[in-house]
Amino acid sequence: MTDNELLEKLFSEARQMEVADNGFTERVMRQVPDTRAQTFSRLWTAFCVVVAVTVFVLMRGWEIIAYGMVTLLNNLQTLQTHLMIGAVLVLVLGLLGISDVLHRERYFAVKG
Amino acid sequence: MGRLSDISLATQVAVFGNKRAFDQLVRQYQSPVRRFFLNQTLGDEMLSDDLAQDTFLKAYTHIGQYHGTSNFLTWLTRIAYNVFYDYKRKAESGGWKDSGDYQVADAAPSTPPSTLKMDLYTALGQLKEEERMCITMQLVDGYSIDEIADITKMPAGTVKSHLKRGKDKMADYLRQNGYDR
Repeated sequence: MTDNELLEKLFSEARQMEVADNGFTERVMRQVPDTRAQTFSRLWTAFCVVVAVTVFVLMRGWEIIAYGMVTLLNNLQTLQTHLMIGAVLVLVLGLLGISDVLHRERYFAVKG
Repeated sequence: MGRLSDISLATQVAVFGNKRAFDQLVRQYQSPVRRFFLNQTLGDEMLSDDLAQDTFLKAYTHIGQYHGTSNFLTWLTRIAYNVFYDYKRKAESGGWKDSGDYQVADAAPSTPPSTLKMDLYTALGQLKEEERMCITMQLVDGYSIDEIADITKMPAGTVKSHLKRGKDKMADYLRQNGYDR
């Protein structure tokens, strides 16, 4: 008997071996994470981004920002402290929102 | 199950999170994936099932990366290979024994002990990890040398060397134990 015949004899049955399910699929499916929440979250984020961009374009947001920046620079020295705090707060909240969305996306990317 | 059907099911899982479609894929491919792990762990059913479960969960979360260019089973086997070596790395750092030191496990409680299984796992136990991986992928799972190289990311020449050495060792072992009679 050649080496190949010997190995064929051993492995031919192994090739036919079927492992019975015996509840394996159910066990896997119980562990499968719910991706619907993830999908919904992504759709909601996409919807918000589309709405924000549309409003920005319709209202000529760049003009408002430019006007605001010029006014801010002109009045920087005379600006009252509480208005300054308000502006910083709005800026921080905006950055936190963007950071939260990015963090969530990275989390989902790591999870798969 | 045809490749088109697999692609259709995988798309339903990726786009709609359709668990029923994934259930069908698991049911279809649980046997070859669990058999793959049984061969690598020399019949350790509990470990094999844990690793197979991990493989399917990873497949579920990464299903968007399946583009249908290869068989779904080949794609699953690639994940299974990575799961096995991830496990091995972690286990080794925790004191898991090196290749060749496995104990041949008893047959599953749900299936009667089989002489074939014991012979196969005992013979596979004579091989190094990589030799066992290449041999079982070729002789049990039916992959070509190129496919094994693609799954394991080994050069084809290395796969050939593992196959040659592994087959020689197994043939010697089988002869010494009178398997050629």
